[in-house]
Amino acid sequence: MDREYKRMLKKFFRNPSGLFGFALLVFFVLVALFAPFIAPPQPSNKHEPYMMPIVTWSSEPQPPSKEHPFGVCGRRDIFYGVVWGTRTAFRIGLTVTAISTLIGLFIGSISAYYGGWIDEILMRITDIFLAVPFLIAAIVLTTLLGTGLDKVMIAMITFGWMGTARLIRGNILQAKEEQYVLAAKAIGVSMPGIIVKHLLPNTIFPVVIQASMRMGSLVITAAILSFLGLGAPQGYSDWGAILNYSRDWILGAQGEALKYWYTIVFPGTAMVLFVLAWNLVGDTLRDIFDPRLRI
Amino acid sequence: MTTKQPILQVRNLVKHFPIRAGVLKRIVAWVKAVDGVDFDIYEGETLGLVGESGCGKTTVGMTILGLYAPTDGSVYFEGEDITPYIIPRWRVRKYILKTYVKPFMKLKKDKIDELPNHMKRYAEIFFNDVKSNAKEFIRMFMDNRKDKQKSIRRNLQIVFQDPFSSLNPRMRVGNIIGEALDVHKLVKNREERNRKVVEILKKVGMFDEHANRYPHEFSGGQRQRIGIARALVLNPKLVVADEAVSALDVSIRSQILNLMEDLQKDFGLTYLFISHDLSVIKHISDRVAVMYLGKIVEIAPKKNLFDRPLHPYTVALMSAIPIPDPDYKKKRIILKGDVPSPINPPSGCRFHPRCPIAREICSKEEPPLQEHGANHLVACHFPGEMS
Repeated sequence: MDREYKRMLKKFFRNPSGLFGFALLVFFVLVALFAPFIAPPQPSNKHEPYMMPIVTWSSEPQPPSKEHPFGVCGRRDIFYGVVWGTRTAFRIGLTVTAISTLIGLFIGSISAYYGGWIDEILMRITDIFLAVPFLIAAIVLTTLLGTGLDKVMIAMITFGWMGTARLIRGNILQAKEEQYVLAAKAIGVSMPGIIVKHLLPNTIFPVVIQASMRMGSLVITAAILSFLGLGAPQGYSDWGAILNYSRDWILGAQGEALKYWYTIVFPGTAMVLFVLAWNLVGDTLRDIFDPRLRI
Repeated sequence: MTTKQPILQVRNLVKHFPIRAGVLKRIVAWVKAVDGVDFDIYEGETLGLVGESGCGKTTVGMTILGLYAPTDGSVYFEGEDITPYIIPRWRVRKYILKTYVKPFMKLKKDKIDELPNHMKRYAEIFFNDVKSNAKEFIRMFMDNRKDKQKSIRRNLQIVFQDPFSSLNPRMRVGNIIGEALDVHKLVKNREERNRKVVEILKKVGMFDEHANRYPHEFSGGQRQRIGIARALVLNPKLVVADEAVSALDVSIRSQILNLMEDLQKDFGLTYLFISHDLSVIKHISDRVAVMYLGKIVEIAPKKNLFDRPLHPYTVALMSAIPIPDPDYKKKRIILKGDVPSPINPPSGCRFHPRCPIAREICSKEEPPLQEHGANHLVACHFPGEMS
């Protein structure tokens, strides 16, 4: 399998869109890691660097300048917000994806392994969660829990695990009839052992791909919630929250529709590129792991 | 009979699979895969189990190992009833009541000796040790459930048919074989584990460097050797070989068969060798059981069975063995029709719709498996009439 992994890595890096996506991701990771150096916090917000510093008292946005390369909006520096917002994006994406994938794996594999009425009950619960549109469910739950990034994450985890559960269930149903699973049972391997050592390694790749694709869209959802004022608190470095500031300036000024373009373009571009990066990586992974495309 | 002790006794083994349909998943029918099977396997022998596909051979093997829970009947290993440990916990109470407590309650204490051997042991425990206290008796079977299950796993092992799907493609050979050692905590550290893995690999004719490779790097024959190594590393007493050589090509097949015979001598193994291939069965078995539609129709020492088959089905099977001699003209018995559905098996003798010598009684009464000649059991109303 080492050879197999090497072959896959090679394939991955030969794929131009995969490479581009990966490069973008590396870029975002570097920005997130070096945020304190790229946009050093002011003395006023040193102890809470995620809060964008207030740089002016005028409520009108200011165009990009030497001091504020991305301009100023809502009295705050957009550049600072975009840079530190990268960290927020990663935090939201990774946390929500990791936890919801784990929940999905747990429910899906238990359901598939035992089958029968356990499967029936778990899958009907999954159906109930699936029946509610994701965005509306997330909005309602966030409103109930109260605003805040952690509440947004809880809401997205609560309504984000079903796809994984369904996917892994189907895969395990297929794999559990394989003779090596019977052989493991004959040896006396316990239920968690069979799932973790035999079933998951053979079924998890589609889930990994799905998770990487979801990572991007989750950041968009979080941004939507922030844009609606449900997510990050006022002044928090979050791409959605910056867009929330620019909401009032979207229409531009009288006779000058694009006057405040910078309030949208910079945080918007960051978001688009972030989502694009994850989707390209996910797409490439899918192509590599798809047995029909294997040569 | 020989003085050998039966290592495994199977009594009235039944395995029915439900067919579910509709929204409520109601059971609409049962596939009677195995429908009342009795046989003994003696220590150190090879019992061949032969029959056409779909007759329930594999189900018998899987059920004995507890990979499927038997619907009814009992399995005794070395005289001990292992059924309570291979059926789900919630069925144990009912099973004990039905198999032991009820018959014992009706029994006079002095008539214990009339019971068959496998029951006698439990009758003595019931009357002497627990003083006819049913609750105590059932608790006896509930205790140490986990340990008992582990010991069953150690003593009964299986070699699978398909060398390609029976090894986990994402595990190294060393881990595939060594996993059993970890599960049963038979090794203290990695070194000891590696040593044991290499030892068993060499026993099955492979090399120590193979332990670090993945299954896809091996040929079918080598993979089957790995499967055998995995079964033998626990030092089992009985190995079920479920069509273990059917997927291999002929040259490799004889290699694996010879290997299995050698290992039998080395480890003192007992085999239940399941196959549809009569020539393989003839090569490796000491005794042969013939199955048809979920029942054993004939069971006899190999020589008796091949020289003088008594059941018409066995006769027909034998006539299908190809003889590599172009001048030899042999009358083939072609059975009419297909094997009936195991969902709705024929009344009386299950073979009667296809039997060339069937008479009226055959469709009404089911013939019991009875002794006809030394150790030769056959389930037919007219044994030996066709030959």
